[in-house]
Amino acid sequence: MVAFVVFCLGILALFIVNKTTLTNTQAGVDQLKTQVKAQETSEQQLILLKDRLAKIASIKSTPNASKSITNVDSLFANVSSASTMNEANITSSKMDISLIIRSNEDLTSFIQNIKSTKLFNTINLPSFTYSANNGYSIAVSLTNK
Amino acid sequence: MSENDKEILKSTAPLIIVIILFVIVGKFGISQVIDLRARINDAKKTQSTLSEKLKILKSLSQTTVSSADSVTFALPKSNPSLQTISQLKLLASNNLLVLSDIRASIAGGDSSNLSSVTTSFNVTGPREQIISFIKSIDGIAPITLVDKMQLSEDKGMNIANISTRTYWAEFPSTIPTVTQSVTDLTVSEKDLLTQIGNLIFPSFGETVTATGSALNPNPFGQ
Repeated sequence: MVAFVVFCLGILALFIVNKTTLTNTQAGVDQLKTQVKAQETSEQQLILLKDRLAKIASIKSTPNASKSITNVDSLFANVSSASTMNEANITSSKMDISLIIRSNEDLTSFIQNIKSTKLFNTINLPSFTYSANNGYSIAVSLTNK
Repeated sequence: MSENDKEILKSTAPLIIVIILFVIVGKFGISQVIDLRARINDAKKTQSTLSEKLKILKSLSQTTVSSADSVTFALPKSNPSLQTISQLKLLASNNLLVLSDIRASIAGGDSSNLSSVTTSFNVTGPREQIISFIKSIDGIAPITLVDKMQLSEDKGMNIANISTRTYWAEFPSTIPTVTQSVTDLTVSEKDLLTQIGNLIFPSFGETVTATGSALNPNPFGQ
């Protein structure tokens, strides 16, 4: 019988100790909840910031023709302004350009640029003509890497 | 039942009763203690989550929080056609180009809740300036991408027909519950934030700030 009483007292003591721990922990949680609620504005800004950043990252990963235009422009390095690009259709993946090159020096620079570039997947020259009056008339079709 | 059996029963009855009481009290008492331990563990987990959340929220620098304004300009919550056209006109003017035939049409949304507006226009001027203009479109807010460009030269004057796409998206409508954890900005998010900070912002637009705003002080509607 004594053992039973001791057992009951042990259970009771364990219950009281745990109940006290729970009450204290719960009080700590309530206090933290109040403090977190006081930072609600910061939390809203953080959620908004993360939402916008995720969407902006998604936009930035979409194809952009600006890169194609910059790539095409790189082919005109060291080509004089006398030579002109008289037509261009540029999208994020494909570039069709036609140009008039007035001198042999410009043609050499342009071909050198084509040879040295690593920006394109394919480079086709569907037409290449020469006339004494206009110089070289070239059509180039390119696709990005 | 013999006298002997009765004697045995009498002597063992208290022991059996005590054993039964042990079982009853033990089962009830221990289950109560186990339940308490489980609740303590839950409370400690919540406490830990809240402590971490509070630490993150308190450590958010004022610069980071105010960056919400920049990202709201970069990706507004409503159709930013006017801001885009204003920005494009400013860029054209800076590059000494003539901008004409501006047309804007809503392109629709996609699976990631992004909507977009397509703006088409012509720019006239030297090719170098047109290229410079197109390159600078990447640097304006609202974030605008070049869809396609058609360039033609007529009597020494370059005319480019450019089509751009500008995005917008609704603000998030819910805020997590108070006990739900939040994560701090990652390195890539901070890098992106720096890039956004370097964009050219329109002189007018919408903003969301912590202390008060032009349109809506609380985008979560609470």
